[in-house]
Amino acid sequence: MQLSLDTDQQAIVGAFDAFFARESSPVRVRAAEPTGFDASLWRALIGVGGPGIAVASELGGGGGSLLDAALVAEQQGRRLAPAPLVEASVSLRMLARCADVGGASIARVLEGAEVLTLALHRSQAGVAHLVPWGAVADLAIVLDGDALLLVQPTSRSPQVGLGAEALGDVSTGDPLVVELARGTDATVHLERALDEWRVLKAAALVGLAGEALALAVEYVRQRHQFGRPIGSFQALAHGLVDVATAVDGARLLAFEAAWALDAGAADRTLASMAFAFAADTAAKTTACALHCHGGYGFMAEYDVQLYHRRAKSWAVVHDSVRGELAHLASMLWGA
Amino acid sequence: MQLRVEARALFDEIVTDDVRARVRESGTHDDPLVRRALAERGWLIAHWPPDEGGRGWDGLSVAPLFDEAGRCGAPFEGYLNTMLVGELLRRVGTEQQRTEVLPRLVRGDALVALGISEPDSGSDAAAAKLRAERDGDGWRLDGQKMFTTYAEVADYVFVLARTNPDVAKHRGLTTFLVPTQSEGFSLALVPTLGGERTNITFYTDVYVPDTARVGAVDDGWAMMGLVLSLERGVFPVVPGRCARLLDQAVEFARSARDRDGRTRLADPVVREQLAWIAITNEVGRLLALRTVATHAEGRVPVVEGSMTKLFTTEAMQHVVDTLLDVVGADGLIADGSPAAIGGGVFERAYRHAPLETITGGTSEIQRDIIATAGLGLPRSR
Repeated sequence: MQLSLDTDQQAIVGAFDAFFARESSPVRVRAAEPTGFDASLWRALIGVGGPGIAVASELGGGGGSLLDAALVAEQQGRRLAPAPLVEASVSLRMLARCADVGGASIARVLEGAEVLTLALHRSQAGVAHLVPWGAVADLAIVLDGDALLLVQPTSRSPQVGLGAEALGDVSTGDPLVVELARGTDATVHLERALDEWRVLKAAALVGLAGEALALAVEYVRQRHQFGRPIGSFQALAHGLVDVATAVDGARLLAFEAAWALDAGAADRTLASMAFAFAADTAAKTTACALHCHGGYGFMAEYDVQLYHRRAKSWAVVHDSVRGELAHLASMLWGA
Repeated sequence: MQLRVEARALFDEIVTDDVRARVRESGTHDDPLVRRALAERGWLIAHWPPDEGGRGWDGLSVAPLFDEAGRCGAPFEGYLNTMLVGELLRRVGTEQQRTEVLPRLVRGDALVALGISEPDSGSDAAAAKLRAERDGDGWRLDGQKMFTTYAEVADYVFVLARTNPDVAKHRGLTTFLVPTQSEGFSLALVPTLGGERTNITFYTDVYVPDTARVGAVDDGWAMMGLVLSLERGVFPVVPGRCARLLDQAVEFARSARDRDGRTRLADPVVREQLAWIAITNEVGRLLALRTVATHAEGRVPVVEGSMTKLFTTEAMQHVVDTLLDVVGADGLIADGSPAAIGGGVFERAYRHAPLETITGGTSEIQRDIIATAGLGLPRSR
């Protein structure tokens, strides 16, 4: 595993850093609230090949790796971009793996800019509850019993709350586009997609955490109390150092997990590790960053609160850190 | 991959229970057999160019050696310590030092102990008071050094001495390689919580010729800085130790049964704790790899090295505490008593761990370094 980015990878980072800096300013992020979806951002993101970067070029994608997609996801996370980059990316790759039945739908997304998402939990009583982007999706993949379905969600009532990911219920009774797989195949496909989701979401959370940290570092350098910058007080500086160290560790782990999946590793543990550590780190980092802002951090108009809410919501929509650790334990040491 | 396999095989063969017992009884983390076996294979100089006896490897390629050494508890820290000074001699040593002293260090025939800390100066290393004054063609050293680990088996102590009391403290220091056979040199045993032996060393009008000086007069602080930067190119043993502890705890938990008849490993609380440790072990390993890789690319990994040290040693505190909880009362029993498990590794690790956040630059010093060099924050107090 290489530890530094090659020139192609650096180019991806540079391109999407510039894209999200331009298209996902804090003003745009706030404007998309409370639902959290920006349709024109999504179309622009499709236009620059974001969600399709890790889909084979013969299917209309960029022909890149999951690691490339993770690099894009980190940039999306830095700017809290209100669009289903991660969910669409892993869903497109799943459609590509079921190309004989799912392939036709790929163009609806990569050319038609339809919104595609993935239900992270199987349906219960015919409903996949609180699916990210479920309230705005044109297409959603959901596991219903032992069938993996691609449906067209009809319900359009977003559940608004802590985060802003257009959470909405998807009914398995919604118009069916195609059944993607059944039985063991369905489980295998979903597990693979969820591992890829874990990795990309870990990368996004690392981006989010890194940016929140940068906001805090900037603030404590400028804010003066007791005649000196508050960043010169060890109590604050040392707290920021601890989360900065964890963010670096989380980044390394997320990219190692992406690399391992690309390399065809059968071992699922790294994806789980990456998600758990990134989720824990992001929540701790934004909490520290917000606290370092003092009273100003609590104001709605300061951006750090946008990060703090999403650090938690992006992760919890899948599982708690503790829930993920239970999953990891079962993979490491059996049920 | 090959080095990892060979290292593991070697350590499995030569780090016997006898060796471990001898190390524990004496408290000296050195074994001549282990040292010479490593020297024979040239692994600690594998990164030297071939014309100097090395293989031209980078630090990344040698990393598995330290990981395996950490895993199996190979007592080679004395040799490793010695080679840090060896690396310094290779870079700044005189002809005589490089041709007469260095080869003995490389072969594992002579050890060097570090004489930096004093009773009144630990983190504030530049405040060293041990005096070195000119005496004819040499120097007369007088003072004490604290925590001079390995002095009881070392041929030399690498001493940080004050040669100029009239300038800013870090500008008036010089380093010397003081033979432990010198008249006026003595040591006193210091037993520790972890069982490792250390020493106070006394320098009572010790004469050394000028050939014992390492680096220029009053340039000692730069010599210290060089040694520290060289240390960053070395993969730490802490990640390997933590990985081994987890493996041993899992093995114990698989068979130990709780009062309700369930195995310890079936307990969801235990599973969660162990899973978290598996994660932080991996993160620590990656941070260490990053440091060594950065160094191998020719860049000085100041922040990376400090982050690695901070993260892995703080994580180790949590590891030894949690794993002793998981293993329970059986884990309290020391090696030698019949009920000891894993050779008493859990209680021994619990007693050793606090040293790791102190030695080699405390966690607080590392945080200060990361804050200023890494985050660009103003100097703090």
